Amino acid sequence: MSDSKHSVRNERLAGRYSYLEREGLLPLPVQDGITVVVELRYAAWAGECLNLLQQHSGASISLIGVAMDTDFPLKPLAEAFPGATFIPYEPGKYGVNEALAYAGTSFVALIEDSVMVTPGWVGNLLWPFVDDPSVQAVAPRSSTELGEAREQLHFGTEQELSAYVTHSLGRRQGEWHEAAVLCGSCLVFTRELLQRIGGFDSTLVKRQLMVADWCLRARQRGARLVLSDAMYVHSLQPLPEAHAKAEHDAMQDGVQAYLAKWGLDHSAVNVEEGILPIPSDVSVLPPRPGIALEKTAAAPVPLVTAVVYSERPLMLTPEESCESQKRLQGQQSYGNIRWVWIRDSRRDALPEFPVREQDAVIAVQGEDSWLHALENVAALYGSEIVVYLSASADYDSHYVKRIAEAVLHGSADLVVSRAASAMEEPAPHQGLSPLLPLKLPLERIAHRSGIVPGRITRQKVSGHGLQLEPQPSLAIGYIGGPPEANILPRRSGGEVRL
Amino acid sequence: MNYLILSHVPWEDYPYKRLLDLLPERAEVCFAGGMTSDQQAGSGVRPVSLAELKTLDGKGYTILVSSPYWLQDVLALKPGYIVALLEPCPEGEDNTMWDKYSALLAARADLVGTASERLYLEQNLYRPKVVYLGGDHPLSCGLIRRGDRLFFLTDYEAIWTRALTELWQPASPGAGGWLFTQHRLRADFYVSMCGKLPAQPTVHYLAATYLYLLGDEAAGRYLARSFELMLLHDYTDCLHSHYRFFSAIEAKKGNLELAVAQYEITAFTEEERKTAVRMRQWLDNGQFELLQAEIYRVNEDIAEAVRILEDLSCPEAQPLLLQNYITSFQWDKALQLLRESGPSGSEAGNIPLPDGAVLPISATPPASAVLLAGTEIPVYGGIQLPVIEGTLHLLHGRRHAAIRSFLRAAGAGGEARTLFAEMADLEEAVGRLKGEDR
Repeated sequence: MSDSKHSVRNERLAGRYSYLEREGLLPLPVQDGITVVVELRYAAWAGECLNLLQQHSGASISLIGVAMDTDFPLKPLAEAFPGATFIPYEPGKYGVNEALAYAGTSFVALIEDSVMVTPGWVGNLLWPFVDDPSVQAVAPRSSTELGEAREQLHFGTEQELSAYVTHSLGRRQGEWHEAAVLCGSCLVFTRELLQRIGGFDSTLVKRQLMVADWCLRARQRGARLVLSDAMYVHSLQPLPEAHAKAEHDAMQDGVQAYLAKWGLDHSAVNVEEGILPIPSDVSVLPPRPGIALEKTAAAPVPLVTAVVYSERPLMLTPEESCESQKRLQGQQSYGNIRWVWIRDSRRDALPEFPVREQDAVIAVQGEDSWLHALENVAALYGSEIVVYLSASADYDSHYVKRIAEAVLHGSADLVVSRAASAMEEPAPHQGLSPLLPLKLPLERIAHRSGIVPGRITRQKVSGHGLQLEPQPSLAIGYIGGPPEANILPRRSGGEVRL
Repeated sequence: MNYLILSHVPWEDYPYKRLLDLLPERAEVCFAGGMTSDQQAGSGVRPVSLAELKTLDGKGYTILVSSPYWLQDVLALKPGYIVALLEPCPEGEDNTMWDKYSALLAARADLVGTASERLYLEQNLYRPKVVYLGGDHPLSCGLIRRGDRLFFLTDYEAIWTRALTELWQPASPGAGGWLFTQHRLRADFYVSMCGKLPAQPTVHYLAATYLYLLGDEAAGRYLARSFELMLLHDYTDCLHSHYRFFSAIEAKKGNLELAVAQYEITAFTEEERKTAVRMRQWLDNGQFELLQAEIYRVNEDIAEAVRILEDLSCPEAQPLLLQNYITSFQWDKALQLLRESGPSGSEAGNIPLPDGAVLPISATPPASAVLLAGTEIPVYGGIQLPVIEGTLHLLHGRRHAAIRSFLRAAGAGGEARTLFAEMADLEEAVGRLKGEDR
């Protein structure tokens, strides 16, 4: 093949690739997705940061938000991003290391909530790992990196930012170069490297120093660090506050610790101005100790599978159905819910509505199949807790949180909430003869995973609501109502206190 | 929050369009003047005619006003909040009149913004809530979402949105911190410029000014370098402009004896020497707050002087406060102060005030006032009391009362023609403003 034909072919392929990337049609060049750990410091920016991450990272992204400050308001984010996991701030603990311990994917991104990403950001940062297997950590250009990767830019709008990144990608597609150190607000690395060198050294106080130290430790273990010339992320900078001087003084301790750790005494450090001394040859220095990644008692919020059903025929338009779905999802404050809708397609018109990757809509034909699916949903979707929700019942915004915590922290296998009006039957079965089968309102029930809760039938009296006849072996607890009512005789002996 | 825009130019030339996109809690935005349907669709702004303007319930609006000649309408509307966007005098306008009414507008505003750094510094010396609508910071410092559009904010845009929000949330955590932030950003900029332009006296002077506003002791070092550079460049007449500034810096540090000595070196005129003698007396008598306020005043830092004097109850404080109010065009406050300090029950010769109260002109003028030669009319800082009062009448739409006040002032000094000419010029400027494409 002639040279000119070869270059035409390459150009054409590059054009096709660019088109696919621009249109978001390319999958990530990894099998198991990527875990993105977001450091949450700026409440005013965090929502948009997470929003852009979800929008521009493809389906196989796991988000873990870590509150970096005691005052950081996690609740609104947990409500707005139900698929993400959030780790609250705990004094004396560096939550980022805890979050990293939960990363289950081959690649991990550590990012500040001041970073705004654009389409294709993560794919472009993952390609260097494919290009060269010795690459273990990659950073994009940003205002927070050092040297030529440090780009101090302002864009008026997200559109202007995207146009710049697209232009930049077009010009420098595929380009990257090795770096001696990285210290910016966005870093992607392999989990394998993380497991070898551990987490970030929080005794260095200042984030850039912690990242630089981690990268130097990575280099000591033979990892290559690279900077992507093609990709830029927009890092917002907070305005200086009145207490900035006090913070600056605290940072000095971190600077001294960094200099001492790497034998750089008396060097000038001003990361904001791009001045960060590093050892000339890290390989000759004794390896610095790793930082353990430990899961603490305060684990990320466990996954709850919310099973939604409608006991009456749905007479909704697709728009109404979508609206009703959003309303139900939007109102719950619990931070980690997988939504599963179970419908009888003979009875309900089945308007299509969009669901997230982890959610599902199961359509079965006929009443028996529908009830059977409801009984066995826990076997289909693994999670720590299963909560049943009726589409026609009213729930307050903390309902799932409350009942999930009761299952999680109590000793009952199955918990019934009698707090709300939706529980039509009075708390009823207490004190009745144990010979009569216990029937519980399904829309008020949650249970542990790994069990089949019992038999689900229609309520005989009304014919509308569903009721559960629990397995006799299950321990049943109640929440809501008077405290004494929450101690129940265990049907197979003993009692459960909630 | 609803916003009403009172501009000095038609919509197509309105220079703050992007700031309108960034308005916090933006509900309805109205523009006084004509707009095409495309302009309305593109901006989400609704035009209002002059007739409709009169019917608006001002209380529900924050007014963004960028011409001093809207001041009468602003006062008539009694808006929730007034934001004055000050500009240097445009070509074709009378400079003196534009500056005077701009100063009066700024004095009535809840927040002042300006893209002119000269005006920004001037206003900082007059009052506390001033935003500089410009900057040299290269990064994005915030964001705001409006519908499906995400805007990134420059440093000053982030400060602007914060300052506006604090108008209706004055007790929010860190309230007022944006003032510090902007002074810090400007100080950092000029300090870095000093490194790049080490022989530039103006850059060092500006660095010293912002550091002084921050209360940073490094201000003295930059001022000293600026003073040296001025002398090196043979600008020998900088004792008043540069050396005197040391006295304000020392006063802020609490070194009042040194501050007085520094002021004395710069006191040349008879009035300045009298002031120096008075300062020395206050120093000897231990009247330190009075002294500090006076040092700030002679350095044109009226905001600091007012801040101190408003908390003082001694008899000497009141005339000084009055003088500072008048210098900084806070004329309503000046008249209010006079009214509160005048002898009660004096009926004869009272001057009716804009809000229906009366000003007792027979009250003994304060120490800082002089009597106009051959008259009983007190003059404060070169401004006659009836002129102040007449101007306020004019701004509140009481033309006849204004004329009576001006006649009183003119009767003494024979300046009727000047005052009425200014009145006519103002009316003409207002007419021109409202006639243009509106």
